[in-house]
Amino acid sequence: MTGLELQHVTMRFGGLTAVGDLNAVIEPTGLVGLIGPNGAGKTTVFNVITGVYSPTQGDVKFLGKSIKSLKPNEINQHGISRTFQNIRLFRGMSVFDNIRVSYAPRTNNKIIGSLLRMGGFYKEEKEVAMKIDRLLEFFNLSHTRDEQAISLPYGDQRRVEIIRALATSPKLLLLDEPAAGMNPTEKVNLMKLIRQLRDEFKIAILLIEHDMSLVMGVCEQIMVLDYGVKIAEGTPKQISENKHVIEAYLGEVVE
Amino acid sequence: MRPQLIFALIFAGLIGLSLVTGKIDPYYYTVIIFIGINITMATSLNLINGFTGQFSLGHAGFMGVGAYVSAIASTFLTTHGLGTEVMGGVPVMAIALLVGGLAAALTGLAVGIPSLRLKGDYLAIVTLGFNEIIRVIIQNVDFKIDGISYVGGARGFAVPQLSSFLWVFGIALVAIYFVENLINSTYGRGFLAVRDDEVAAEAMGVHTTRFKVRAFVIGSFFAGIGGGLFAHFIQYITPDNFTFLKSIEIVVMVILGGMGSTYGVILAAILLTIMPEALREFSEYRMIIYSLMLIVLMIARPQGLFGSETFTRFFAKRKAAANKV
Amino acid sequence: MGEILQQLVNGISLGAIYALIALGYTMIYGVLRFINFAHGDIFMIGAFSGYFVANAVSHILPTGSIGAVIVVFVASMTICALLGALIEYLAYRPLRKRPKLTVLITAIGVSLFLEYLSQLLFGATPRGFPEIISNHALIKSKAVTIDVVGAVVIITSFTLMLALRVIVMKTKIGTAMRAVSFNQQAASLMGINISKVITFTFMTGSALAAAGGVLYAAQYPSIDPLMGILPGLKAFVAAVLGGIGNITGAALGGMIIGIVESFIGGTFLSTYRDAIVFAILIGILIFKPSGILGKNEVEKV
Repeated sequence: MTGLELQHVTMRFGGLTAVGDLNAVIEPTGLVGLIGPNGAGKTTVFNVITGVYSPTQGDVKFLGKSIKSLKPNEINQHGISRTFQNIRLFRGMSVFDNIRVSYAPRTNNKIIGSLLRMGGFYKEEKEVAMKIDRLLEFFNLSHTRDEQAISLPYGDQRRVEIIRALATSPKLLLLDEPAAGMNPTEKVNLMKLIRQLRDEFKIAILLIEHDMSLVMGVCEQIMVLDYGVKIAEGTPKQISENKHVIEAYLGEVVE
Repeated sequence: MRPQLIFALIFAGLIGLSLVTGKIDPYYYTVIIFIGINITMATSLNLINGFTGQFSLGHAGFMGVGAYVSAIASTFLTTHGLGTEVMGGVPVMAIALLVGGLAAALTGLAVGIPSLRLKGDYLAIVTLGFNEIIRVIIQNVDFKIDGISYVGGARGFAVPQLSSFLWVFGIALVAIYFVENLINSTYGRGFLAVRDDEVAAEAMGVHTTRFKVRAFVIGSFFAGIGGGLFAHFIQYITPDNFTFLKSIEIVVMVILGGMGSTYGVILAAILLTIMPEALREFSEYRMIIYSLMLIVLMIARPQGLFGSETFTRFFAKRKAAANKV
Repeated sequence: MGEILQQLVNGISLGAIYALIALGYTMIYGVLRFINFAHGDIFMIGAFSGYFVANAVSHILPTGSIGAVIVVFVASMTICALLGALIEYLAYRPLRKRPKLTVLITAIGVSLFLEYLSQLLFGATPRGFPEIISNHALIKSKAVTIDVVGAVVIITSFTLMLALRVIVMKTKIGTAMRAVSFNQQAASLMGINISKVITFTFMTGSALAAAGGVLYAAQYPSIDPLMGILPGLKAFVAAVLGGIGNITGAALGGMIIGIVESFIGGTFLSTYRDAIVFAILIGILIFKPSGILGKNEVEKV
């Protein structure tokens, strides 16, 4: 069974076609990069996959089922999780609590259990805390556990967002410019981490990235969007030699 | 120490205190009772406005539903053999409060489902509108059972005296305990997530509408019980007890206490119940001082007197959320 | 038939007043994107200003004379325009960059302040409004009676609405107003003084509310400090119904609410009148939040 399948996905806003007739497949443990100049429609693709937008035309299938008319929270429950280009951590909460939100829709103890603190409430809370601590450890962020998430350095905030997304136990993880705002050392570490994530958690990863070296270094498969249309697809080597891609990027400074 | 234990200890303390309330001057006793009721009202509204970030201006409407429905229940029961003579009126009061709370919760559900799609000031206005609709409906209801008048429309409704110090503060304690337990659980973090960033909350699988409605229903439930306590204390209720001005009063407690800080809100409820009494000599200036305080507070310290900066943050985030993903 | 026509006439004159208040809501919403909760109280201050001015000038200009009416209108509109500008300057301007709800709460504070300050200054008991327009039946037929006050209300309201339209569409400041409501940032980059536009908007809106207050008091000659709450809320409903931010919409919404209220007043549902107006508000906000004439604002995620 294939993981994610985009079939003729088109997204129009009024007269503007942000994404046009996009077809793509991501295998269950694929590590795919989505690149393209600014305004190429990359984040729109993410928003369509995660249900923020419903595509004007076409279908989005995940594990064989159409998810295009589902709400973002339902899509997350189906196993797709994401991070945001402009970090959206919960501002009033600590790092620990930010990640804890991902377990909120997944607990056995809902209102009654929480109110009365009965029925294995403490046991479950302990389990959640252990899972969060394990994730923090994996990302070397244990020391930030009780800090306000938004007070962390930029790179750490991005990693907390990744943890928060992972905590929902996704089968497909969408990373929107995970390296933005990171310094070169952080970027190298991030590259390693992304591969490690895929291998450790056995998940598919689709990432949007501007940093070419990062995309080329980490992804097995790359899709190139320009003006909402896929202009190329292939391995990093194929893409770096592709004429259309070079054209699309000509004069375009890649940050 | 586990919260159950703290709860039990405070409850024991309340029982002890209730033994001496008879010695308190009736005027102070009334103020103390109002403090207790306002704590319940403000704590429950804080779940909606403070923790979940939904701006409701209709809390007094749910209080009114609870007051009237519980009063109907107690009036019916006391005239049908379950009066104060049965176990000191505990069963009749318990049933009345529960029925009142449930009626308010149901109303909250009916109001919440359509209106919680709206945000910010529109939600505020719509809940205010529902508050007024509830009031007008009560104003038009009047019926008799076995020759006894119920509800009484604009005229008012005589209610048996069943509230007591222990009831009022026992319920306030339960409200605080429940809200705190709920919020400080993994499940409860969903409410805060809705407040902080709806888009991100949804992306993590949180059903934001469901959380909003649940906060609204639980908040309304306690508002209804608060209304029941109020009705059975002052013994005569009219629809004018539950106008949107009352809602604003409760909102101010939540804001002053610092949206989302239970203890700040309790402090504010105490302060804002005592303040008008302390200013009784200047009663004509009372509301002027009150409104000026509100304006100055918003300009100088929007996070409230006792709250952390959560309030500002949450609003700042609201603005950011209007940008793109 | 006769009764229906009469209700319609009553509805239009009530609706014209709602429209005047609704215009202020809509204009302020247009430039600042917030609901000025205190607008209904400006309407009340307008009525009180009219009351005091009419009494003060009654020695020189007899109450009921044309001169007195004009003085009353001009004076109360000026007073409220200044008051509107003052409130904006003191209470709302410091919050310009703050979140909307902070401003809404402040507006509630301003509203309470105006109400209770008026109660302190003027007393809570209702006062009889002087008969600034000597009233008698203008048209009296079997079907419908239109009296002078009703006619003045309708004519004055429409004249003011027309004047507002001219200001907004034809003058420089009106163009600036439209620019600001379209895109504040862009307008500011084009060299428009945003603060000046906002002040002007508050002044115009408040002056219209004052005119509404005087007209309302002329028609229902009993004024008190809390008289602005319900008409204010209903005018807000009118603004939302017409499409908030849209001037024609506000006028249309005012008319509809006035007529609906007038018709309900004649039926067994009359005691539910206020509730029905709110039900209309809730209905629109839930099913068509953009109102009748409003544009759909696409929320950018």
